[in-house]
Amino acid sequence: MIKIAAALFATLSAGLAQQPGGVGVPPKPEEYPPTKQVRLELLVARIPEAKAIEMQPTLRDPARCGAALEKILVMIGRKEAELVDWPVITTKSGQRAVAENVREIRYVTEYAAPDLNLPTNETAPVAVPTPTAPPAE
Amino acid sequence: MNTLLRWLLPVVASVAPAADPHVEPLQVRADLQIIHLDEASAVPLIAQFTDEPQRAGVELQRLLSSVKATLAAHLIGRTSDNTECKVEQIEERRHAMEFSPIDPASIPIRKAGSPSEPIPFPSTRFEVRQIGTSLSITPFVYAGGQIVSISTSVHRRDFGGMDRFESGVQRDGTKLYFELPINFVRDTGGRFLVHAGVPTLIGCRRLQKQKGRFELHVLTTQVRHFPEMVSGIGGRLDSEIATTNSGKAPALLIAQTRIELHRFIVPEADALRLRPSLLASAQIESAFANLLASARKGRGELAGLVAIPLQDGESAVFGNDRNLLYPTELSFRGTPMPAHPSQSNPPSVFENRDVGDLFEAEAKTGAKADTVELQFRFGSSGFHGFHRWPTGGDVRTNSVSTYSYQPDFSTRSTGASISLANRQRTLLRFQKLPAPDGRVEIALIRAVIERFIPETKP
Repeated sequence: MIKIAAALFATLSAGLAQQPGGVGVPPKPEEYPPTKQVRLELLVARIPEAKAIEMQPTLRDPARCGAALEKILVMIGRKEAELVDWPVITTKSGQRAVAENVREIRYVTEYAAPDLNLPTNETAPVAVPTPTAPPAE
Repeated sequence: MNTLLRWLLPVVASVAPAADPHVEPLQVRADLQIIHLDEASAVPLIAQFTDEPQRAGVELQRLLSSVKATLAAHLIGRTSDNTECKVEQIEERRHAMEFSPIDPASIPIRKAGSPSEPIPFPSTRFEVRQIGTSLSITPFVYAGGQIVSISTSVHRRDFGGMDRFESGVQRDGTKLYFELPINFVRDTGGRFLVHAGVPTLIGCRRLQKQKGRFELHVLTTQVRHFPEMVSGIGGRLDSEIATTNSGKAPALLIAQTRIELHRFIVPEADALRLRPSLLASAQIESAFANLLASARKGRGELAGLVAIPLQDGESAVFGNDRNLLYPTELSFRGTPMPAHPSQSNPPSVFENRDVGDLFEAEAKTGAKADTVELQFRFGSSGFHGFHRWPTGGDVRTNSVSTYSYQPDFSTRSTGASISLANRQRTLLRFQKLPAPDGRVEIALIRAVIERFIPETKP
């Protein structure tokens, strides 16, 4: 499987917030600066390697990448591809925006020696290691 | 369980120094009602609080009298203009925070065939948690008492039972355990504008302990004028009211934005089907209705709900979390006694973490009062249960019998500076939950500008 990340849509959603004073009228100092904003969508999908190689030229062609996206969505619907994430974020021009999606994996970093004080007439074949401090990552 | 229950009657602290009406002409009474109700009643009521707060207040009292809603707490604070007041209703609950291994010799020998009752690790140290509600307010009265800008802080702590960790076992199969408390934390802080006498929704949360139940925080203020000062109403109040260019009618006093933020979790196929509608402003309301219907049917889930007013230029914070307490270090002990081999893992170090929603924002209404500039951060963290790490076992039977428990977390956050059109719902988040869940989290935000224009005097 190959993971493909495609930022296919960056749309100016100027309709959400109009420039104060109307189009063509410069804002007064006490008014806000122009508030055009950008919406960005990032599609991340896992698709079989052969399909990914086949689709690569299409994805690189701005004229055909929309159709390629539709194809990926169809594949996701048929379970032929896996949707990893498809975040959408909107921000004003010149402003930083962050969208995060994180899973924390804890793992063991410290072990203590096992205590195997068993009766002498019994055997103790294997020692089981004992984690003592699994941290967050 | 060694639990000390102590109810403190509402304690009013730092009230105005001396109630001299000539010094403090205005006194404010703030009623905070904390109400629990089901999702079907809560969702429409929240919208009604935005559009018709008076009728929403009447509806809420009807729900309370018909027992469809329950009053979880009612705090009343009285204070003077520009003076802080704190009210608390607290229960103190103790819980163990240190455990020692069990001496096998102290455990009675179990009869063959009799059920083995789990045995708790001995507790050696305790801590106290405060459960209940505290309210802190500082009111600033405007327009002769019609409008109050109220700096508010609500802290609510709820007890949700105990988490049991079975992390030790005796040779005869008797399990050893320790318990940690489950606490829920709900905080609201900010400065809000309210009309005197009008119930105002200052917070709404999904209850994590009870699925499908919501908690509403409704604040109602009353402003009282002392008789001696009635003729003098005004003072700084009227002088701060802006006027229109004509100077005849008072204009917008201070703007405020009411934020509604719904967080849904739905199956991937449903999310992908709805996505085009969620991105089209003309279709987003029908997509929102679809998501609500899906939550009602149990196919999707309304996982989080933020309803908070934001006074212009004032930052506000809203949190709804489970405070998760969990061990991070274990003091493993085997026993040197051949007759009673056992293993136990009492914890020695703990951490805690808030799991849930956190919304921090600051809003500024546009010059024409039709857009809102919102700077925000919305974080959601999920707790997906405890992962059991095997920490020891019986080598003779080749079985794992002791475990340490570590929590599985995931976090999603969105932070940006955006412009929102008044009353226009907007897609804020579309993110997939980590495997094995695989569902999609969708967050929608709506900003409604509230006008606070005082009535003109004859």
